[in-house]
Amino acid sequence: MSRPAPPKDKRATSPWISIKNDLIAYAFMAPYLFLFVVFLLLPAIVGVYASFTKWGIIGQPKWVGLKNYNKLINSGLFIESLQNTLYFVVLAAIPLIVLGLLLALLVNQKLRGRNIARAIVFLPHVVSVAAVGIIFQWILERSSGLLNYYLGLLGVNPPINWLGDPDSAMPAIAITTIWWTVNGNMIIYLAGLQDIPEDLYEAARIDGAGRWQELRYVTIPMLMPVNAFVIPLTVIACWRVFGQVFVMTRGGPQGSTFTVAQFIYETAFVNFNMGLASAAGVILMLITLSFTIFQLRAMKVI
Amino acid sequence: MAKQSLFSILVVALAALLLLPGAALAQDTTAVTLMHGWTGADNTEMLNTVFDRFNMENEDGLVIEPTALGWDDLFTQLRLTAAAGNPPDVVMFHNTEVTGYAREGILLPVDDLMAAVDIDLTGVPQNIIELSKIDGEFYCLPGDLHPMNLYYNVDLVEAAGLDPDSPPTTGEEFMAWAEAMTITDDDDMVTQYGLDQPLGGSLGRWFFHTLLYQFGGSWLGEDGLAAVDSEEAHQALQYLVDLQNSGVSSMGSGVGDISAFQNERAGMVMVGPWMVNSYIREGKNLGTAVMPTFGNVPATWTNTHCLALTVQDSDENYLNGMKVIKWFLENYAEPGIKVGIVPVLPVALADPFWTDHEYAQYYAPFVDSLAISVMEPAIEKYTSVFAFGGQSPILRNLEAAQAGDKTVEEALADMKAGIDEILLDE
Repeated sequence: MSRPAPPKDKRATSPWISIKNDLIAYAFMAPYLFLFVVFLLLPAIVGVYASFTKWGIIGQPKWVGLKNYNKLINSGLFIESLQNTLYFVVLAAIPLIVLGLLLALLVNQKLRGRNIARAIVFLPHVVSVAAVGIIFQWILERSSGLLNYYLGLLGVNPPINWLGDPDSAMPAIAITTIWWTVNGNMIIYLAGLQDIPEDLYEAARIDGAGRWQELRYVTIPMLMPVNAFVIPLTVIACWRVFGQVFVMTRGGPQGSTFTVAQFIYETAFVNFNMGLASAAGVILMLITLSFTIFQLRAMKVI
Repeated sequence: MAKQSLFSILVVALAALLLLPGAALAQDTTAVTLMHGWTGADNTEMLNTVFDRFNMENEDGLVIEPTALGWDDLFTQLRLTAAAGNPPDVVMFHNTEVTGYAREGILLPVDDLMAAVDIDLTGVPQNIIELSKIDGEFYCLPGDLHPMNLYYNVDLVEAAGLDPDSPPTTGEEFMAWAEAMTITDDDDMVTQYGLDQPLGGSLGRWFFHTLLYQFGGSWLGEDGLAAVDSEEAHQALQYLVDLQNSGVSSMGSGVGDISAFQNERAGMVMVGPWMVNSYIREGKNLGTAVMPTFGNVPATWTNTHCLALTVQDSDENYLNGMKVIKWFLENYAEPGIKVGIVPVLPVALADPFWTDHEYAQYYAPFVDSLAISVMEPAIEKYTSVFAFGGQSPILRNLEAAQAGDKTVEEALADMKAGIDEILLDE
């Protein structure tokens, strides 16, 4: 026996009400949309246009076609900056995602003082990049830094010149970045964990699942939508690394921490070659877009 | 009714009290906007007190409206505001940056205005005056020099059995001091260095510049391209590398780091006068001396701060801007000693604020070294060639040579190639 169809709500189907609802929705979105268009979309469009021009801020841009892109492809500095940034992505992105999840699992335990623990773990997130950079310059200082002091107790001698050695400078930047930003991922994973229905864990336990199996067969699959958000954002943020490099090493020693964002900054605001900098920006955007699409496809989100 | 009238009168009186001073100020004063790069809490605050003094004196009804920006931001903002048609009236930056902005039409030639306000540069060294001119015309007015010289920790010098009243003047004397102050522990680990000479960074570049000119070299050749593949440049970089390898130098922790001297784990460091105040505030028993001569002739790195007028849509504020510049140059003693820079105008150097200041003794060697001070070439592409960032071919190759990752020959060849690429880039 089929159930009778519910009576139609005339108010909901009225075209006027529908338009009104749409307008209200747009009104709520308007402040963000305005800022998005003015400060993100329009500059991005202008940036793409500028990438085909020669422009030094002063005067009118001059159309040069693909010359800037050709120059970048043949630029040892730009290729080096891409390699350095990819190295940073590998060093930082994986720990940021894995540690973010582990920390979220830790502070999601029903233990005493967990709120205090959450606050302490989240605290570095509110520190400015300049302060983080300076603090870590002290921590990583070769002869009197905290890190080398403890490594010395473990028998690491001579002390590592973290920021002065081309081999250790990028790992040092990655360590700094992980300490500073892992808590952002932690908070998102924590929200995801708290959205997982308790019933699923109860059902798993009734089926005889242990803690590891709960994690593997309930927690991680249920966090896939969160992963689809966290992983691309983390990778994009790593590709755009700038502040900590600028404060701690300025791209040195010997260019070992010279990243794409710094290439763009120096090309635009030191050499005032806005066209070349814009072309580098477009390439960076295409790289991050490709990574994101690849990740989302691999996760079968799109 | 009476209550209402009284209320109305009170409201009007209050409004008048609030609005009238502003109206009076708006009528009687003319703003002169000034952009400068002396940032850091201390510098900006100190400079604001100097501007406040000018505003209080209110000469000709002029009021300085300052904007403090980090140097990189200043260069960007200056271009952006000029492109938008509203640059600051006055800009204060380095002589080395003037050529590029003048060629782009952002700066104003000021010879006529200098004459109009009677700016007297008598007594200013001729080489500094020449640096302020492009094609024979003044584009900026020099305010100070800040040469690189020798700092030493008197306590560590005395502990090493050396005489702090006779600082080194030659390379040999310098090495004797550095070796005497270098201390190693039982495991042969250095616990105190004689010298805190950093790896690369601005200080590394400036010391190489000093050595380059002491050995008779220069950055650019007559063809306008890099001349760092010369024999003199080879001698200079070899000296720097040998100094690094001698074991007396810390090479810092990270690029440009001189924390070893700050933490009293190094006896000497070479840096500009801007560190005097902070070292004294930290309680260091400090000595300063003119840069020793390591090469063939005395020379040391320096740069200047200068003040320039920007090209405006209207010329009505040019004279006011020049009056501000004149006042600032003549009253440079206070910002000079508080920021840690050496005024170049004789009237400022003779100011009791400078001569009688308790720190004057520390600044004396910096004044003495004005005659041997050499600036980097003020070329149009100065900020690109002599950049502080990761693109800089100078810093990369200095760091590589210091770290032993390139030979001196390789480093200089790559440095020349990198500089020439920038210079030849259209």
